[in-house]
Amino acid sequence: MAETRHLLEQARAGCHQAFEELVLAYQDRVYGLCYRLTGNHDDAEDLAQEVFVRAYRGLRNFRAEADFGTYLHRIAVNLFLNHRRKANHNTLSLDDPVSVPEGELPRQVADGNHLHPEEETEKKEFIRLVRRALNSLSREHRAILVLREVEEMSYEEIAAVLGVAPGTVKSRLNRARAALQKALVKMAREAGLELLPGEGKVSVLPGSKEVNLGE
Amino acid sequence: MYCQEARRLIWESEELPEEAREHVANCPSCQQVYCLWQRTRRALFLPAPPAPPGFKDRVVDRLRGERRSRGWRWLALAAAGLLLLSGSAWAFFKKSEHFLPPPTQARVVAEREGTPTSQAPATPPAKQESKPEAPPDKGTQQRQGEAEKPGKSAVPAPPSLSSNQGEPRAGKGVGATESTNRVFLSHSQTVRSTLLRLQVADVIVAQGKVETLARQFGGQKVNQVKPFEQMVVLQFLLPDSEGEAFVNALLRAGVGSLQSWENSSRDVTQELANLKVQLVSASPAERPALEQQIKDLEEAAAKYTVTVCLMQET
Repeated sequence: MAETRHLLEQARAGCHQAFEELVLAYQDRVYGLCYRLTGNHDDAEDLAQEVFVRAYRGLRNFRAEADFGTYLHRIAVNLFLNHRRKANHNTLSLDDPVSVPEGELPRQVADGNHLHPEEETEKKEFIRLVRRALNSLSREHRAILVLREVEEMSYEEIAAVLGVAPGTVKSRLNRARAALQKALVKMAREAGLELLPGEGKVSVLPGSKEVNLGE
Repeated sequence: MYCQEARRLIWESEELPEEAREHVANCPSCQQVYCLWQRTRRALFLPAPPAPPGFKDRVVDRLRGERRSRGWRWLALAAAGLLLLSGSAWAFFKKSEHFLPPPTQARVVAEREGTPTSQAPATPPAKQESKPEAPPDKGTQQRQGEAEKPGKSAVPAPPSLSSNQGEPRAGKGVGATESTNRVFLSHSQTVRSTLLRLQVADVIVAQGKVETLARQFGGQKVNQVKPFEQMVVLQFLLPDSEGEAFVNALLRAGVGSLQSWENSSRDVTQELANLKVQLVSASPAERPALEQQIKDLEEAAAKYTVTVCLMQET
C-alpha cells in the first residue's frame, strides 16, 4: 500500500516509469475483472487497456487516501457499463482453454471435479446455459452479479466500485438475481432442458403456474 | 411460509431468513431449488486469467501515443488560438485578395446616399466591389455594390433599423461624400471548422500536396505555423460549401495516416444579433468598427476553416 502510494506520487509528478510499475502491479487484477465482465479475451484486453489509459489521465484527480485497486475497478465497471455492446463478442465458449499462471488448461479440467463423462457433459451444458443467461442480462445486472458472485466482493466494496450506497447494492443485486433466474428458466425451457431432476414429475417445472422457481 | 416465497428468497436474498431456512429443510422441492441456485452460483464462477504477455507494453504504447496526441492537440489549439488572438480567423480572410461575398442569407445590404466615389481604394467598401467569382451554390448574389447602386437599396431595411437610414457616416476618413448606412439581416449563422492531424512520411512533400488540394477546392492558406522541423500546422479558409469536400478529398488522398479528426461549429447568430443591436444605438464614431465586425463575422460564417497539422513519422 505504501509502495503504491509512493508510486502514485511519483506518477503524478510525471514519472512514467512509476506508472508502468503500477500497471504491472495491477494488470492481473484489472485484466481478470475485465475478462469476467466481458467474457472474452479480445474485449477484456481492450477494456483493461482503456482502464489504465483513463487512470493515467485521471491521476491528478485521484485522491491519495483512496484505494487505487478500487479506483481501477470503478473505472473498469463504468467503462463496461457505458461501452456499446459489441456484436459477437458476448459469449464465452466452454471449450475455450482456461488461462492459469502455468499455461492453459482445457476447461473441463480447470473446472475441477472429475466427473463421469455423462455428468461432465451435463455439467458443461448447465454452465453454458448459466453463462448464456448471464450474457443475456443488462450490463448493470451482469456487472453486479460478477462483482458479487464471481469477484466475491462485499456490499461495501461493490458500493465503492459502483459509487452507490450499500443499500442500493443489495436491492440491485436482488433484481439482478431475479433477472438471472428468469433468463435461466426461459433458456432452459427453450433448450428443452430439465433444471431440476424429475421436475416434470413433481411439478416444479420452470414456468409452472403452481410451483415454479420463485417467479 | 409458502414454497413461492421461499423460492423467491432462495434466489434473491443473500442469506436465507430463519423462517425460509426452516421451510427449505422440510420441503424436498424447495431443497432442489436451493441446490439449483447453488449450482448456478458455482456455474457463474469464471477463473480470472492473468493479463496476457506484453499487456503492460501495449498500455505503455498507448500512453505514449496519448502523450504525443496531447502535444499535437496543444500545438493545434495554440495555432488556432494564435489566429483568434491576432484578430480572429476571419481577419485573415478579410486580408485575402480573392474574397467571396457572403451567401444570400448572409447578405449585407448596404445602402448609401449620394454618389459613391471610387477614390477610396484603401477602405474595405472599395475592396468589396465587383466580385464575379461567387460560388454557384450561393444562389442569387444580390449584394448591392456600393458603386453601382446609388439611392435606395433593392432590399428594404427592417423597420427597426430604418431610422438609421440617411444618417451620415462618420469616422471613415474617406471624405464627406461617403456616407453609408448598412442594414444587416438576421438569420442563423455558424462558423464551421475542422481540425485534422496527420502523420506523414515527409512534412514538406505532404504540405505541398495539401496546399495543391486546398487550391483545387477554392481554399486559401491563411496561416502557417512551423513549431519545429518535423511539424507544420496549416490553416485554410474554403468556401463553406467546399469545406467538407476538401476534408474528404484530403483523407482519400493518402497524404498520411489520420491521427485525429475534429469538427466544430460555432453558432454566431446570437453574437451577430447582439452586434446589430449595438449598431442601432451606436454613435456615428462607433458605427464603422461595429459594421466591420459584423461583416467579418458574416464572412467567416460563409467560410469553412480547415486546420491541418502534419507531423513527420519518427
